[in-house]
Amino acid sequence: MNNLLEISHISKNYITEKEEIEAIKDITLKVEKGSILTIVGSSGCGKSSLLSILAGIDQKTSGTFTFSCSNPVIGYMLQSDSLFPWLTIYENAILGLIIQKKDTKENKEYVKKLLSTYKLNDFMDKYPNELSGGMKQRVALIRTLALRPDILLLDEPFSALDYQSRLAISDDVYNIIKKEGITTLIVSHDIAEAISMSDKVVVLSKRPCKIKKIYEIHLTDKRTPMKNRQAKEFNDYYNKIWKDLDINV
Amino acid sequence: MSSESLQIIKKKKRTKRRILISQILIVILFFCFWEFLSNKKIINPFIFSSPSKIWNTIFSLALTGELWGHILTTLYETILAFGIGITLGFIIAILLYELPILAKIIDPFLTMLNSLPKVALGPMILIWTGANTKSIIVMALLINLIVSIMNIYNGFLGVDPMKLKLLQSFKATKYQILKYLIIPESMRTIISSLKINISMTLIGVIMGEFLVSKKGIGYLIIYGTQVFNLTLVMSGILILIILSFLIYECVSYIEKKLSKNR
Repeated sequence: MNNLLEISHISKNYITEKEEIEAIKDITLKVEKGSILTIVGSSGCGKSSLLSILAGIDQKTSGTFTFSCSNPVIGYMLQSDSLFPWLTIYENAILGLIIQKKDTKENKEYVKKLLSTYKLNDFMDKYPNELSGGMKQRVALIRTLALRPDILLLDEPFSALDYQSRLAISDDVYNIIKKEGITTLIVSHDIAEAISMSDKVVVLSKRPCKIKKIYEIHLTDKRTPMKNRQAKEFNDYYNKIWKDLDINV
Repeated sequence: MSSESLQIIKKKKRTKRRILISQILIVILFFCFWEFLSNKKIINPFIFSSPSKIWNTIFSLALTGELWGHILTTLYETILAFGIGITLGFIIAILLYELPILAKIIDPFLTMLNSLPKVALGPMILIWTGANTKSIIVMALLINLIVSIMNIYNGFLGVDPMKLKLLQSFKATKYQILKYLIIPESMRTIISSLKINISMTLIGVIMGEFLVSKKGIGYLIIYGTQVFNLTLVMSGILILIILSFLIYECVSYIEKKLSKNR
């Protein structure tokens, strides 16, 4: 099997003045190239920290992770779209390129192509406040894709949107990811979203989060996330994961 | 547009006009009443002066050309102290932001300086820098600089942590984070601190002029007091009111222009 990313025995402790908090405990995981893997866990567990560590923003306490390619480019997308309101859509989309000094003519053309492919070419010179939430999310994704990442890390990518836009944008994002063939690691607390988008769902326990179970998602007639929700296995997976998460309200 | 909405617009305009008329009426009535009381000797005209005397004083000062010198001096000092204050405040705020340890170390000292009535330092500044424009500028800077630093620095701290994380994920350098995120995002706070700053600067300049000057509106007021010419004192105050109002409006205009481009 061709694994792009191998995580082995990663732990993360946060140290405050008073105590040491275990956020992540001994996570071992393989991410297959070209696949979508979603990590679900109740909110407040350290699942976002894992992405921060992989993105190189946060430090791990112990363990290792290795990419099969050398110098992997990592695309990290956060909960909010984090578009800069004083930049136009186009300027926002090439922000990563500018910062990494990769704003070559070729790369800029690539961004323009992405913007027009994803129906944003009429909005290139507009500002973020003129766009809908779903459109902004698409721009944020394009800003990440502009760097041509080997792996995408999505941290609750749709949680800021209302339910309807969420369904629509997860279809959009899914299509974009699949079309560009990018390996993707998603962190989410939405079980339905996880099942409908991914090839594999990893369930984490409560803090400190450990891997509780891994599900390979096999749906008959696998299509877009929205349609996947109608697959007959969907409910079965949903109930199992719901039980694993052990959510007490 | 429907006739109903036209009616509403008309009503809004009428209310606006009414407010303006009332404001003008208040000013006119105030001056008339004052003139009347002073004229009939109900209040002591030597102590309380009267609008007509003030008008004559301002008019003759303007005729001799002396008035413009005073106004220009105060204006020059204010703009100079304002410019230096904003620039220094900006640079120091960046330093504090980039060196959080430094910020923590000097935090209590900044608070102390901020709560200290700066006018208490006046006599000392006078001796250190000499009785000249320099000490007026220093006085104004003492008053406006700390407020500027704190405002701009707090603006920097208020930057969206998500955006910061985004730039970090792009492996942006400190300079890039400053250039692409911190400064543009806190522009709004910086601009609104201009307004506070200009008022502070004017306070500092007038205080400085009270202490040392040979020219300026502050000097006019203090000179009037010394020779017990209260008409002159009140003329000075009236000019100062108008001047500070105009300066404030100018800064508001600049603020509006700058935030429009954003």
